[in-house]
Amino acid sequence: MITKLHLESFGLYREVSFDLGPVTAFVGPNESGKTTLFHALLDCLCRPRGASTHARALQSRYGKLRSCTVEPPDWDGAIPVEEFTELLAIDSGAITLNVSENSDWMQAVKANLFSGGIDPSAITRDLRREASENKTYAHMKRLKELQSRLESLEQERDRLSARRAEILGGERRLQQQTREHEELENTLRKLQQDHTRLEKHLAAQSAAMERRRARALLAKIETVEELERELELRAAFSEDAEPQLAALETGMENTRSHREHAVVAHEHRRAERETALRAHRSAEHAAAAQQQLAEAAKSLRRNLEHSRAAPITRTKRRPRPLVLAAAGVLLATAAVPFLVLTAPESLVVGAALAAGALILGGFAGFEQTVEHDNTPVENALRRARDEWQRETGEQLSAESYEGLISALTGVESKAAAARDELQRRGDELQDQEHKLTEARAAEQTARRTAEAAQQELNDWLARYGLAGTREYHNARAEYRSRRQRRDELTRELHQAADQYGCTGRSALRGELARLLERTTEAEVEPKDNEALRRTESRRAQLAQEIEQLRARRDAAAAEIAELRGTVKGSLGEIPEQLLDLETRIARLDREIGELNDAREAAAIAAEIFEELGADFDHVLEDLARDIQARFGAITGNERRLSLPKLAVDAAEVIDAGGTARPPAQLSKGTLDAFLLAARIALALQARDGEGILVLDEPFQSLDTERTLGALKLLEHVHRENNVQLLFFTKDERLLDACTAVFAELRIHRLQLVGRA
Amino acid sequence: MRKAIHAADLHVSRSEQQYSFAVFDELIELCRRNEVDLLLLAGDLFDSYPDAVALAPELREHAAALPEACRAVAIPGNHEELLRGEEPLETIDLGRIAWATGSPFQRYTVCGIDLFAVPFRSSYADYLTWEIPAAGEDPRIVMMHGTLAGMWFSGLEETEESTVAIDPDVFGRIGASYAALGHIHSAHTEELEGCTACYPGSARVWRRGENDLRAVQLLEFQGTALTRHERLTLTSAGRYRHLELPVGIDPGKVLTHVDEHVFDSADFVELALSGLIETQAQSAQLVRKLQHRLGPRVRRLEIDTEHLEPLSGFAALPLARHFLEHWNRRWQHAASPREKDLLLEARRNALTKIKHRVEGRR
Ligand SMILES: [Mn+2]
Repeated sequence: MITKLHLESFGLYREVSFDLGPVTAFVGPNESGKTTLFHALLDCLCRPRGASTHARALQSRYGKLRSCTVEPPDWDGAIPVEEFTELLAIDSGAITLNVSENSDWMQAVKANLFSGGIDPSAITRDLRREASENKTYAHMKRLKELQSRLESLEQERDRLSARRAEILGGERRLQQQTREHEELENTLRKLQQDHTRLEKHLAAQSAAMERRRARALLAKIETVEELERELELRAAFSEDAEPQLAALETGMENTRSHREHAVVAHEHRRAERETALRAHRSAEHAAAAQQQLAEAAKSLRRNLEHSRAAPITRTKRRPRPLVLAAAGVLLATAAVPFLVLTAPESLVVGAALAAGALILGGFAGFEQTVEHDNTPVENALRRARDEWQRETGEQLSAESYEGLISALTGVESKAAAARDELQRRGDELQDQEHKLTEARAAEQTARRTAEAAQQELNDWLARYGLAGTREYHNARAEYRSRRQRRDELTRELHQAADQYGCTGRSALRGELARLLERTTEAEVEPKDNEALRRTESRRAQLAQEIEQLRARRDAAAAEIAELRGTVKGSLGEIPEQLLDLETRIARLDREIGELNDAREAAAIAAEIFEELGADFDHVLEDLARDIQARFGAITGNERRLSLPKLAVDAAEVIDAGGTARPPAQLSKGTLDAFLLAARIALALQARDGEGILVLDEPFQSLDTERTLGALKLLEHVHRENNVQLLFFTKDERLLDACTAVFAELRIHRLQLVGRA
Repeated sequence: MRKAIHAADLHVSRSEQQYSFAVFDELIELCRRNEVDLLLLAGDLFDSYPDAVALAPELREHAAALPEACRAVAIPGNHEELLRGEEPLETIDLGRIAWATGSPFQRYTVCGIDLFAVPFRSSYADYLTWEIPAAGEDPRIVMMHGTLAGMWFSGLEETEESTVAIDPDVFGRIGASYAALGHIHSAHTEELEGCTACYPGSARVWRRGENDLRAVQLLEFQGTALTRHERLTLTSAGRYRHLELPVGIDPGKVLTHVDEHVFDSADFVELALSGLIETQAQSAQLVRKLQHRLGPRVRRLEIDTEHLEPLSGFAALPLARHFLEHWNRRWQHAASPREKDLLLEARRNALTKIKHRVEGRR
């Protein structure tokens, strides 16, 4: 509680003190200094500073050197000036709710009531703006700008990273290229070595070949000379004697063929003579047989005739075969010594044996019988027939004597025919013998001719020292082949001589000898041409490969040089640049993060302020009820206040007739009662602990009844809420009413200033 | 089997000498415990050239505890170049630790490992011209200090510092199966073609944002192959802990909030205060109280009041009060760090708006 107000120098007051009680009334007429006191109180409690409206107003009215104090000094400057003027001080008779900042007076009430004059919704708006993602706001513009800068920095960093990777890749390629280059060099070197070796090898090969050829040529010279010697030796064969030889051979062939024909004719003649001889012999036999038959027949016939006349006797000789055979053997044995031509004694024995044999054969070889025909004719006939049958084995068909005689006569004639035949055969044989003799002579002539021709050929061959014609042919062929060989070799040597640039065999021989003397024997085994060709083709291939490798190596070297330039030139600086970019990116990131965090934090703060706003709305609902209750207390509940929510448009005062009016349409007395109720309610809400209300002619528009209601309300507030009350009035009736209402009332009666 | 430890960015400094050497000692102890043949220090062993000059003797003493069989090679990083001027690096004697200053690289053969140590240079752009001997039987390791470029982004903080880009191509050229990298303070392993490139991260917490546990890399080689690599945590390095402290109507509440957290004495704690407070004086008082309360419990404490703005009458401002009530409800239900970040941002925004409105009315 403020206990004292001291005005050292304020307006017309000089060194004046006023003691203040819980309820104090300053009473005085107009111009008695009540307003000055009110201003002094404002000055002390609020101490408005600097250029504020109140400070300027006080200064212009009371000067800079004004001086006043309150006791206890805690109160000095303890109340914000807005709170005092707009809430705690109800002055000038006409009560208002001074809405200084805002057309929405209820927002101002809220501000006044809860925030020490700060409008939470205004802060919420600010925070919402800070949290907004609306691109028109500065922070979003900034964010966008930062993000685009970040993007471009990141792109730059990525580009640089890629560049680094590229360079490092190039470096790796460089190493690879270098390695490949070295490998190529090695390969090349090896190939070149191979190549050189092959070349050497080839040279050695060709030298060996040359020597071999030289030696071969020398051998050929020898051969030619040998051949020439041989050909000379066989000069006889140089001329072609083949036709001559052919003629001789033909001649010889002809005589030979002629002779062969003669031999054949001779043979033929001999055969024919043999045939004739055989025919003659057979005729001889037949004639002998027929003669025998005829003899027999004659004998029979004679016998028959004799029988008819006399018996007939007949002697018959028959050979003894065994004896004849023994004699033969003996004769053969006797012949042996003669054939063998042994000693003469043996010849005698042989002769003796032969004589023995001849005697034996002659005497004992034949058996002689004598037959007697001493039968009658029939018997004789029958016997004749039997005999005939016995003699000849044939049967005489004739039965009759005559028949038989004729048959026997026929046999006898047959014998004559056989003799004729034999005669004929003998002639023929004679003829054949003659012809044979002729043929033999011809054959002998032909033989001699043939032998002469052969002899002539043999003589011809003998001149060449040859045994036969074949040898001549062989020798001739050999001669020809040697000559041909010599000619070939001579041609070859001629060509070789041309190649070696010399003429003649001896010159060539000299040249070749010098060549062999000049070169040494190669270590390599001379190979055949095929192998040499293969080696050469391999060498050519190698040469080509070397060429290709050389090109590749040169290309690789060029690339390496280029890469090395790139790598050396740019990689070293990149890490620093990257780090710098990363730092800048991180700074931007941080700033963007901070901006985003700030936005998020602002959103959180706004959310809290919105919660606060909601809380305040609940408090205000309570306040509305409070105001209504206090309004009722002032107006004796004749009017009701409707405040469904605490908003200016929502407030309505309902009169006894039930008519509802908004504040603007209220009568002055009713409006003042409402405002006074509101002021008291708000003042009580606004200040914790000790409070103060300054009332300057507060009830001018109120009638006596409402004034009393208002005073009773104030007394209640004073008592319940520990609120110090200060009244300023010129109205004695109000003073009376106060005296009646307040138990303890301090009264200061003010005189006109300067009259105190 | 051969073993190596790969560490980087120790940043040994006079200003944090005790901490620096505690971490270094733990590293030596890890070498001892794992019977390591080779210790690789991939740059920024010291925080600056003057630090290197001043602390080399002490470092030599600590390095003397390295196991007998263990060889150690360090390359200079960009921090050894800081404040160097024309002074030579070669003269700094690190005792047991070989100081690779050859250009463009120095080659070591240790226990059948063919090591290419590349000291820090203002550019590695000439790497294409480096004469790299043909690879032998031994596995190759390349040690470098800088930022791998063009693969993954290591974070703005790492690149804002003077850095040099490394093209991973260089590993391939050297034929390394492992790239021991330094400079990036957060751990990262990248399996490249034929090469494992690894940042173990800084061995100690050097600046804000280095959230994870600090570690080094343990390598195992069998024959010519890298058979295993794993992280070994350095407990003495502590952690970086960032704590968001939204200041409400009652600023004192943040003190109890801080008390709820358990910190290691090696931790680097950063408190981010945000919100509105009645007066600047109240803000300063709050900072003093926090420092008093938390300062002795951690290695390093930083309090960020950039987002804590004074507004007189703030506590009595109904709108602010109502807002904070609602906000607190959301904050308590926020699950993900992102959600929390957004809520904190929303809070800052809203309170700033209230403050501006209030001030505009006065
Ligand atoms: Mn570094």
